[in-house]
Amino acid sequence: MPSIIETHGLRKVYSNRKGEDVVAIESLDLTVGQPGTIHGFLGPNGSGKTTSIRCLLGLIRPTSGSATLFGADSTTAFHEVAHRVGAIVENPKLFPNFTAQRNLTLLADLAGVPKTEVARVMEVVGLTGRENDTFEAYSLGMKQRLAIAAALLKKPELLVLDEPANGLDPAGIAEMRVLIRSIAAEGTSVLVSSHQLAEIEQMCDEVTIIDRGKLVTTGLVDEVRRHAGPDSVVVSIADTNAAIQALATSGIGARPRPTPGELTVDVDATETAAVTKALADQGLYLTGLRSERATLENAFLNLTGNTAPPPPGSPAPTGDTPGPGLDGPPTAPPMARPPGANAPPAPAPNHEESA
Amino acid sequence: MIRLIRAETKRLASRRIAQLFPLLLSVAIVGVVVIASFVISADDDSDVDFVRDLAGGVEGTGLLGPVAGLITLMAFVIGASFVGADLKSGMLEHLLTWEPRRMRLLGARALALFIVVFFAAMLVSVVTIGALFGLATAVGTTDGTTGELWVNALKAIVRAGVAAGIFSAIGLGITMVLNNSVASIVGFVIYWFIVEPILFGAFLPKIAAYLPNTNAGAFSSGNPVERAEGNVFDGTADFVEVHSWQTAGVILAAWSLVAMLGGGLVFSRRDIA
Repeated sequence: MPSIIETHGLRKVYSNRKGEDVVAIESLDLTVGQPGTIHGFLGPNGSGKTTSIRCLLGLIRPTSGSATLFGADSTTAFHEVAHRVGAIVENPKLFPNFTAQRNLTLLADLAGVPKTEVARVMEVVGLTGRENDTFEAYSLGMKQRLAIAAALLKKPELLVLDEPANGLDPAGIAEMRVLIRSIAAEGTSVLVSSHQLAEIEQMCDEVTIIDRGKLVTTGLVDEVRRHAGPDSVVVSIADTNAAIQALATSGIGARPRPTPGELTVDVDATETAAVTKALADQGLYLTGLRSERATLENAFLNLTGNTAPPPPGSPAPTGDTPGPGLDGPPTAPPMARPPGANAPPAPAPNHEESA
Repeated sequence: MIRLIRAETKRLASRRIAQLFPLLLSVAIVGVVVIASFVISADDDSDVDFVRDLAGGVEGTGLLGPVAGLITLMAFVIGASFVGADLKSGMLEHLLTWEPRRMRLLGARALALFIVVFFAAMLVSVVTIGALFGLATAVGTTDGTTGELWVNALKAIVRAGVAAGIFSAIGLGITMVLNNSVASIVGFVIYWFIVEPILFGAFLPKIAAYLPNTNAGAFSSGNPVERAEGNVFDGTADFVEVHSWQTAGVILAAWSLVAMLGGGLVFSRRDIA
């Protein structure tokens, strides 16, 4: 049985306005094989996620390599499997002056889907009762959900969502996460791209990380997270310099964090007693202590050799801050391209209508 | 394919430009005729003759000649904007995830355009003929008309619809090639009002007889395509028939085929992003 998604050596080169070649994807190998899984497709803005998705959906032709969906070549035979694939590329695109009901009815008609399906998918995405509002009157979150409803009309086996959390507020992101989880629970495989690693980390079973068009790593979330290194402990204390020296005396490594009065201590969460003892022995008393779980973002930064600039005055994301559960608020900023990464992101191809 | 055509037709018919353009054009035509009714005097023989000629004479020949250009312009704009708006909004990309066979989508879109624009053009034609007949009645020039007038009027209305449908396909094809509806429409307007009538019409009349503008006018009005021989600027030129309005229709269809083939070729190979 063929994989749901498979790419081999996928490469896409564009010409920019100056006629120079810009490599958007370089030899990308990607496999999504298990039905009902959520596969995160991660990378900074401009890393080639949307280009890869467009290749998968037959919207753009790869320069070389292959992309298949359910065994069908995306470039030449996507039409054979299009009824098995629901997709939203970049923004939700429906007719602004049509009502939600009319938009979906039109697409149902196009796909030969019974009109009764419209009510079902509206219920799945929680928009029942808002059928008669026009698309342009919807909030961004509602537009995203309606676009997902449209994609679900075909009862797809694979749902491809390109940055579905883009522009959503924390509540909207949480709703989206729950919705995607519930869709996957019904047996639909989901490929979801994002540059917000913390969001993906909370909902995906597998992830693929790409950077500047190249595959960085792929695997189960826990496997990939191992690349982030061990968990650590964050200590709040008045005199951080004295604390670093005191811990060093006990053979414990520590370094200051961007937030004044905080240290990252290189011990596992189970060894916090040693930290408190080492500090207390030197007459230093901590005012706070929490464990910090290794994140996908740390893994990404480690794997790419980059260092992320933390937002001024804000702590790095931690694993035990309140609420990173399914409904919790986001805990990490979007993946940033660090200052050291001097390669510019691949520019969007100049094929869109400019007028 | 039928489902695709139906869906595309519904979408196009719901577009504001497809509804407003024919309506505004109709209102403008009625407005001009109403103004004319105040200016033209039923007692002035030259005015009466002018109106009679404008309305196609007692037999209604050449009935839609004066508005044929406007109707085809409308058709082109509707055709160009239909694809241009979808390119700009990304809707085309979305539609291709539903129907990835691009030539099929393009064909369905061209047929949907033909259907919608055909009826829009017929609406404008009916309003035009009604307004002109009203004007003729007002200045007392309906004497001598027979049933033949209405038969010819009906033929003219259908021909105008067909010509408009053909031009919408030209608009679609050219916009597909240019990938920009504004460039396509501006280019068409310049061509329509300057390049073909002035450059070709005055200086290369042999070629002009085979160009879209000339043949659209001839086909819509039911008049043959004529070419000036001699000096058109001092009024001494003679006009000789080059081909019939039927041939003009075939030439128009050939132009739309060329535009659609060009559009299809580009669309089938272009990255949609």
